Amino acid sequence: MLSVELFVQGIVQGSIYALIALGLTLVYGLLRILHVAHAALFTLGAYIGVLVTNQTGSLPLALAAAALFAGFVGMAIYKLAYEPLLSRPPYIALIASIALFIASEEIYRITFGPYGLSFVDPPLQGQIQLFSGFYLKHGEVLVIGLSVTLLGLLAWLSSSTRTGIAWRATVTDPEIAQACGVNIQSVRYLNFFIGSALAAIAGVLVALLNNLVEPTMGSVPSYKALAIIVLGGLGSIRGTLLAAMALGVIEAFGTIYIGRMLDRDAIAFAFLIAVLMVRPRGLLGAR
Amino acid sequence: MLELRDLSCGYGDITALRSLSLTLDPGKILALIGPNGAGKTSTIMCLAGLVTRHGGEILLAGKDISNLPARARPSLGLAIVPEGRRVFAELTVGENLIVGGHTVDRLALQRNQARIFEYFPRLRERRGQHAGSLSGGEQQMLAIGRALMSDPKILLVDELSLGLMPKMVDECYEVLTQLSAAGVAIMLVEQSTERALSAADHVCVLEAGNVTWQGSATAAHQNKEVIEALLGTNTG
Ligand SMILES: Nc1ncnc2c1ncn2[C@@H]1O[C@H](COP(=O)(O)OP(=O)(O)OP(=O)(O)O)[C@@H](O)[C@H]1O
Ligand SMILES: [Mg+2]
Repeated sequence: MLSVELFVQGIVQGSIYALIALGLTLVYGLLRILHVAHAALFTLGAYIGVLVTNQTGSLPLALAAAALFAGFVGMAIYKLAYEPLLSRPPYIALIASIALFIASEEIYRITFGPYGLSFVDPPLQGQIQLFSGFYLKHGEVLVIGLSVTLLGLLAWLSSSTRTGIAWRATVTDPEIAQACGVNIQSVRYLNFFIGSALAAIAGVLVALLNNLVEPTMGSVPSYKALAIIVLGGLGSIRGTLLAAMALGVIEAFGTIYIGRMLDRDAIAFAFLIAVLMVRPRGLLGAR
Repeated sequence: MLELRDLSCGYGDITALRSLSLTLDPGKILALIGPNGAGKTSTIMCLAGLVTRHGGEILLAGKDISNLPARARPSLGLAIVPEGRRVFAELTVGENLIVGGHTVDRLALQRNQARIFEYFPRLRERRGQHAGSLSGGEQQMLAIGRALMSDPKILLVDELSLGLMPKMVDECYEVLTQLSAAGVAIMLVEQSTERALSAADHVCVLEAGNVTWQGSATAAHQNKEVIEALLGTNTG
């Protein structure tokens, strides 16, 4: 029974990793930039989630507000920070991104205080029983349900709408996509909007599970998401999803079985190193 | 239809094309020939808006489109079959066609797709297959089909026959002839002088960015030695 529980916990955690890391993969695929500041939108989403829930009492409203607001901030980051640097080598944008991420933590600290915020009346604290002796929090059910829904929506968008197909064409060959009449600027905005909105939703979900948001809550996800997209083969969406789930599950088992030797957050890197030793191009990449 | 006046283009300080002037009328085929590095691809890409214009004008149906971004050109009737085909490898054949028809409405999308499947029945068979898994000839057909999805009035085709089996090349040329009969103006970059001269109405020879000979295909036939000498001096 323990192993089923651990597996489900791993899937919950993996879903959150997937929501965060997807945006990173999307940006890397389109612009070849390692968008470290992406995790700032995760934290932003968490803050908006708690503030709006506390104000209005509505979690759906909070999720929508976090997604929209972070989506627009993500677009602004592209416009103000990355677009002017596109003609420079990619590490310049990486440096800008790291600076932006550090600055964001300070902004959150100054704006919302150093000690963090919590829900006044935490939503979805109930539990359901899956089978005898195994309970799942409503919040965890929401994590899985929402992730599946959002990823399904994204899959539908990218394979069944003209916009989504044009988006994938732009990732493959932006020049020729333009010559076909695709506005690649809109594609980039859409890309940042969607990636940032997903990260913000992940932020609200983590706030819900931990009932705490702090200025630095994005640091660990930021480097884990980097590990995940490398594992996923840099730019591969399917690879990212697989790596996120695998990491979630391995961490869940790892904390129990090797937790004494290895800290939970170190497991991600042990896993990363182990995988890259056998598959240098990531889980789904060619050997 | 398409008129170039003193068109120059290049990359930063490098000039790839100097002062090209020509007109291309509906239903006509113009062949652009020249040795490697002559500036043929640069010319095509400049017309598509993907290589920086350094001077001169591009007029389409009398309208100056020189400053329009690349993405605004297909809706004016300009479409490109780029060098190396450059199909969207990770997209299916059907999806490649959808992107090609990005500027047309849903109805035209259906109609054009049906027409392209008539031109190239192989594409219909492979519509669900990833473009990257097609053979070279099939990819060339797809690149042509993708360009035709936007109902072009002017088709720019770069290196149609490169690396393809003669049978495939014939099949592609067959379609170009039909298009030209239907009134599409075609600018063709071709390695094989023989093919260029037999397909084209008008011939333009480039060498290191300069136009060294220009005239009708008939005149080109009569001056074949001159043209071959122009090409030969730089390839040999
Ligand atoms: N991206 C680029 N940056 C700088 N210079 C370039 C670039 N692409 C082409 N050139 C230069 O521009 C000139 C013309 O090249 P272009 O590719 O237009 O020739 P081409 O006639 O198409 O040759 P080929 O028959 O080999 O395809 C060459 O001197 C080439 O080195
Ligand atoms: Mg060329």
